[in-house]
Amino acid sequence: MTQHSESPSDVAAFHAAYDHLKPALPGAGWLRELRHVAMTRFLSLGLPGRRAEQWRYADLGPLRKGSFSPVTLAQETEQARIDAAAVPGLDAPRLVFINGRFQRALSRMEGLPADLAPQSLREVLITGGGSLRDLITDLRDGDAFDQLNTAMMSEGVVIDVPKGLKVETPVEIVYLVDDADDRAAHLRVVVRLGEGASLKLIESFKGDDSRFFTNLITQTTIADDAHLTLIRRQNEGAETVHISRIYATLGRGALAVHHLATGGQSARHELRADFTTEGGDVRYQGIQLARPHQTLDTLTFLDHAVPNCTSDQAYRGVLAAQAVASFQGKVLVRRDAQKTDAKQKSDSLLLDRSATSNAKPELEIYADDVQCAHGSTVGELSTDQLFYLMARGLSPLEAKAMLVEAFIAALCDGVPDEAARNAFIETARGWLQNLDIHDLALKEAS
Amino acid sequence: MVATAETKTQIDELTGTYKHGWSSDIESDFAPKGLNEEVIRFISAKKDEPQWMLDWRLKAYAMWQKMEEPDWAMISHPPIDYQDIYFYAAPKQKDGPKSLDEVDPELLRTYEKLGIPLAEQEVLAGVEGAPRIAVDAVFDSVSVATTFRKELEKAGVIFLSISEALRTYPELVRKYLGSVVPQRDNYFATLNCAVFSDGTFVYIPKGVRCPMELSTYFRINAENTGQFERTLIIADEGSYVSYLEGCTAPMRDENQLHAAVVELVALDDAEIKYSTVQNWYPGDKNGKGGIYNFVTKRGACRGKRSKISWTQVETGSAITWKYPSCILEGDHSVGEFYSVAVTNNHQQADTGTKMIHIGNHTRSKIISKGISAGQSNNTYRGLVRVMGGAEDVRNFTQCDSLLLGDRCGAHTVPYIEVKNPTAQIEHEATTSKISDDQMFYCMARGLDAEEAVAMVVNGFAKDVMKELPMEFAVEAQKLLGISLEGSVG
Repeated sequence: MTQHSESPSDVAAFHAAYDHLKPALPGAGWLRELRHVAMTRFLSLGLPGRRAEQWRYADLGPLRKGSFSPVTLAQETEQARIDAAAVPGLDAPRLVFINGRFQRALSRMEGLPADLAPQSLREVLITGGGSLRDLITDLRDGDAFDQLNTAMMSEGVVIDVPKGLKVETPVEIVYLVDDADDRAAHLRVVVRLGEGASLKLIESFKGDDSRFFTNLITQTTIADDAHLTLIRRQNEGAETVHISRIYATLGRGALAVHHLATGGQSARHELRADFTTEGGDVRYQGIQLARPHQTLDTLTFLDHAVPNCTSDQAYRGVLAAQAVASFQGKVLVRRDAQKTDAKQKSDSLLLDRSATSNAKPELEIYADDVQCAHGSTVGELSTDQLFYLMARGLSPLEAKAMLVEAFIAALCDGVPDEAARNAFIETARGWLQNLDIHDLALKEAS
Repeated sequence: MVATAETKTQIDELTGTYKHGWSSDIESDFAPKGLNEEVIRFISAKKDEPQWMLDWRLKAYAMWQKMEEPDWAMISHPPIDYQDIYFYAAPKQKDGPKSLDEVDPELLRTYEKLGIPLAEQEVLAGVEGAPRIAVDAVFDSVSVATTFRKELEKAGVIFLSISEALRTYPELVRKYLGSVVPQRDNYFATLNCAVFSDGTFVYIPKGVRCPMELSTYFRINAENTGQFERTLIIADEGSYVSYLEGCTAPMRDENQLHAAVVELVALDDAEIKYSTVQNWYPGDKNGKGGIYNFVTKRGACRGKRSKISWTQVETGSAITWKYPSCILEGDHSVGEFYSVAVTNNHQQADTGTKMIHIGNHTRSKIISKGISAGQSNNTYRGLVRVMGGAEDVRNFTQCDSLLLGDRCGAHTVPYIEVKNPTAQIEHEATTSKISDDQMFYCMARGLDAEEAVAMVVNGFAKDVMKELPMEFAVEAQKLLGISLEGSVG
């Protein structure tokens, strides 16, 4: 992929922040070296422009205009705010990040099995970080945001689930942004599942109106017969730029990603999964709810490199006035990856005439004995259905809200945790309530 | 009396005293290899073009020099050396085979299968001394061509080579040329603007239903315009025309680079149906040789209730890069795209369409069938865009891919960009192979493997094939089978 740099000035602020922070960044010699190379590459790549194919629907404007430097001091935050950001009613171990800094004191580890000990990434790196070397090096040839993340990452979490351990309790991670204008969080989360292990990770992103930049990379390796469920609710503040990517490498295991995105001024969500052993399975269910003037963008890339793997992707987007929501989903079936079964479906609902929905469901297939299909639809709420509900006494707003909820219900229902499922539904309802009748304007009796 | 004069010209042209004189002073009809302003001036002078046309070409050339070759398509080829190409050349008579014995037997075998008469095979294969008639003139007769011309004239239809049209109807050409595909549109289109050799101009007057399917079959002087062809078709209010381009017979052509531009304009209530069978030389089994076909085709539905329909059967060329598109400006206008693209051996096709919905109640339908065999790659790339002001737009897209063998690739790259909620957009894509059951069923009934594949493939492509005019349909069906020869068993 060719990267087109808009201007060198858009990366200057990051460069300055890196130079300033460099002495304090955790890590041994090998990592310092790697960080230096990454920053050099980032500077030469620049931020991707609209002409870069994978970024054609994204809005990196706020990132270009702003100047974001990482937080270096821990932030005092009331417990109540953290609880409000977390999944209501979820009684589970919880890791807390505030403005990108891990808060051990606010986290709670009770309830974890004895042989599961999430570690702070910073601490792992300070003590040498040798066990992460391969994973970090893997992203050496990545794009600008991979490079930026490698150069700047200082916080995150490392979760190693040992062979055979099925973690009964979900593990929650809360990322809270609180009073942090012009700050950035370059986070790296590493989740490794040994053979036959299983884990359910529930992540909540929440923030105030700070001009903030979240830059998260999650790297996961899933061994044979292991099963990772990743439930992510992204509900950051209205001025935040959010870029999060999941890099998964699968053996004969399974990955399920359930994603709800409503937050950010401009938010980009990526999933890349590499199948390395026959029998791997990836399920992806993503919902984007875009409020007025917001840009939400999802990109998936499933690399079926070996035979007999399955994937199933479902995406639903709902767009209010002036919103842009995009879904680019690609399935690559490599030579000899026979018996691949890859499904994809994307549906978008436009609530206003000024919204823009983009979809690019892409197939690249080099094997013949495969089942690959995708479907994509774009449309608005059915006037018949609205009429039906309104004839029964619902206001136009209520009727629309009900239909929107129904539209995304199928994907909410799939969330395999009751508390998280309810949190998805509540977040969606909250999103709907924040829209006014203007955003949902009915076409006048046409 | 006019008709008589016309007939005389026809006969003159057909019998070889072509006005640019192939046979007389050949050398002077060659522009030197390479591209510069002088070559463009030479081409323009050869064609007796008005000054504005030359200026237009030169302007395009200046743009082209600042442009870069696009690299986003899923194709790869060695860099094209634009200074190693003849941009204007009369046919190389001396280099042609002396008789059919010298022609590639593979090619002859294909002609035979298509049932092409011997005399015609000579023309197609470019045998020296073969009658110099329009390459596509299947009905080898002066009278047929002339009769058609008369009939068209009676209807008021203008059907000329674009060079002729530039001389006879300069204002009409000037008004529309470049109005659908702007000069700066893309690298290959801009190149075409600078150097186009010839092509077709069609104007259907108000309310006229063109009395026959128009085709290069019947147009004189159609030969050797293949390299940088320029086609402009205007259907005035309430008119209808069906245009056939290309030929099912495989065409030998020494010009490796083809960069044609086709512009269609449909005014109120007009309909244009444009059908293509493209079967240029695809290169040999090892991917050596073959045509690079970089084509820009676009139709503008300017008028209310106008309709443009593209149907294409693409089996030839080493590289096909082509996206026949519709700009649906007029309210209630309709765009259609039906495509079968077959790739075998080392062919690469990156083809699809763009439907740009601007007017209200505009509708579009895309049916694309990609068939890949051998070690080929076949990509559907399509854009459906609904502008904010376009109310009640409908689009339906279906892209199916069929893979024959495990060394080929089938790719689907659709872009769906919608800015109006009243739009109803549906897109479906599937990828599959011919099942063992299907093969067994056919072969149990006595078909051999190749026939069975041809039958299944024709079934797979039926939705598109039925859109082809009768003239093409039968041969195109045979062609599908032939193109896939050697891909099974």
